[in-house]
Amino acid sequence: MKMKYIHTFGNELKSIFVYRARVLNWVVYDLLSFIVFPFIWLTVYAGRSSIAGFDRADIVTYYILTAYISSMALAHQSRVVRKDIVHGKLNTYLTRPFPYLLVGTIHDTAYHFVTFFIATLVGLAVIFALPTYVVLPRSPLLAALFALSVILTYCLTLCFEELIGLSSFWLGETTGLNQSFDLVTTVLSGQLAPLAFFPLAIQSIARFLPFQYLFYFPTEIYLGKLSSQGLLNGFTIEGLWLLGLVGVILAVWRRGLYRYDGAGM
Amino acid sequence: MLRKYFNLYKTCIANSLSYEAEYRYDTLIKLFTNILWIGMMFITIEVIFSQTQSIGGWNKGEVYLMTVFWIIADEIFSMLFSKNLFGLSDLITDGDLDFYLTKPVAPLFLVSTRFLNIGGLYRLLIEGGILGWLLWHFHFPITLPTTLAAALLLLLSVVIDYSRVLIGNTFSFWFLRFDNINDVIGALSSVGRYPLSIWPRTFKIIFLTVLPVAFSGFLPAAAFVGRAAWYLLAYAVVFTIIFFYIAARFWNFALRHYSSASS
Repeated sequence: MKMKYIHTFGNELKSIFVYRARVLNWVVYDLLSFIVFPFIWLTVYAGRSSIAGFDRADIVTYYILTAYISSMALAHQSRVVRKDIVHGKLNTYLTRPFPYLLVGTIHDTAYHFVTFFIATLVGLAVIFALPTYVVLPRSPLLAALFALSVILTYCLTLCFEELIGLSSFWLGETTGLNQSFDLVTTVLSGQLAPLAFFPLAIQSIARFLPFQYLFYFPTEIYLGKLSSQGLLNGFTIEGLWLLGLVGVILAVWRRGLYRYDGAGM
Repeated sequence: MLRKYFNLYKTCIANSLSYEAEYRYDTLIKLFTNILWIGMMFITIEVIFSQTQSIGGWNKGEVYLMTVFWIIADEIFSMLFSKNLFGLSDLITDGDLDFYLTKPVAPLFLVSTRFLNIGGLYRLLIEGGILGWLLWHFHFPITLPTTLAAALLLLLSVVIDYSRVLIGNTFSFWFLRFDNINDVIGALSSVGRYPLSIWPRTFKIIFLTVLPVAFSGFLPAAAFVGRAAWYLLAYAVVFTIIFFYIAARFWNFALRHYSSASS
């Protein structure tokens, strides 16, 4: 790999450590977003042993994993891309030998490199604090597959975020689009509750969309709820979605550059 | 004096209208998003209540009511203040707060009111309609005392939201690029959509004092269905006044630590 990219990664790490409180805020945010659900579901479980195949420990583990994935594998690149396009900061990248999309990816990866350690530490602390409520992976293979699926979750969210950011070539302001995307993914990714808890109609819609691979698929792997065939199908379809999205991003980038007016030049 | 502030606020409204007109597509998308957002909250309630008759002693209609009160309180706050307070961190970090400090008006007034989210009015109308439908659908008895109590608590919750967000963003004087504190506050405030009774005792106390998030949805709904004692209402009034006072004092204290990055 060229040294310039390693330096870019290093510089971004330094920049992240300048704003340490900001990183901490994101981790707290990801944890708080899910804190209410285990308490609600534990109230619902009173007198019942399981709901849709999830027992008490499964459901608490589900939300802990969701918070973990959310804090270490959700890209936040769209706001940066939008700002660069609308405020003309893209000019800097277009005149330098740094491919913009690659540099953006390196910046975002550096951030997640930091949150990975924080989220893992918090996750381990939760496992020790709540041993009766947390399920551990049934085998090292499942743990490894879970890790792989989380990496793919990051790649998928990065693609979505880049696409939303690049839409500012046409829209300018993308806050609304961002919010719409967040909402759709919250429901259809299993972030809100396991998809098995949802009505059949919503489950059927979710099955044909890529969002379930963000949360539901990795947590199902971790909890050992998928057969070998289910795992193979899941990873294959996720890979195809990823390839398709990369193709769309490159096409949108090329077309978007024709629309770019280079504000501030 | 008051007239000056009134005229200034009118100008802010005019500017906000121009901004809204400039980004029409985004306004439309936000309106659409709002409907999706409400739908998502309702789906959550439906998913929970597909497995149970009540949570923490509150039935489905009451939880819907909490959610809609919470949405309305959040909408009023967002319409009036969010665009301003959420940008406070950038103003402080980039040194743009100078612009506000050099004007012959109270800086807190200007940083709190400069932009209005006019599109929020459309959403508020939709949400008012949903509240009306909800009251009709679940046959909630409507009485004057409980309606007034709920309305008062709703307004107090907007003041508490304002104070909470102001305190959070004021920390930007010490921690730069601290704007994502708003995401943290937003995530925390969603606790107010659910009954307080689902939480252990310590959490209940925290959500009514140091992290006051139970005021937006839970308390107005409890008052509306007649499940909030009079002393809880009195507590909400006194707490709101004290909390707002603390927020304003904290802002004034923090202002002395402003280093003005640009000058």
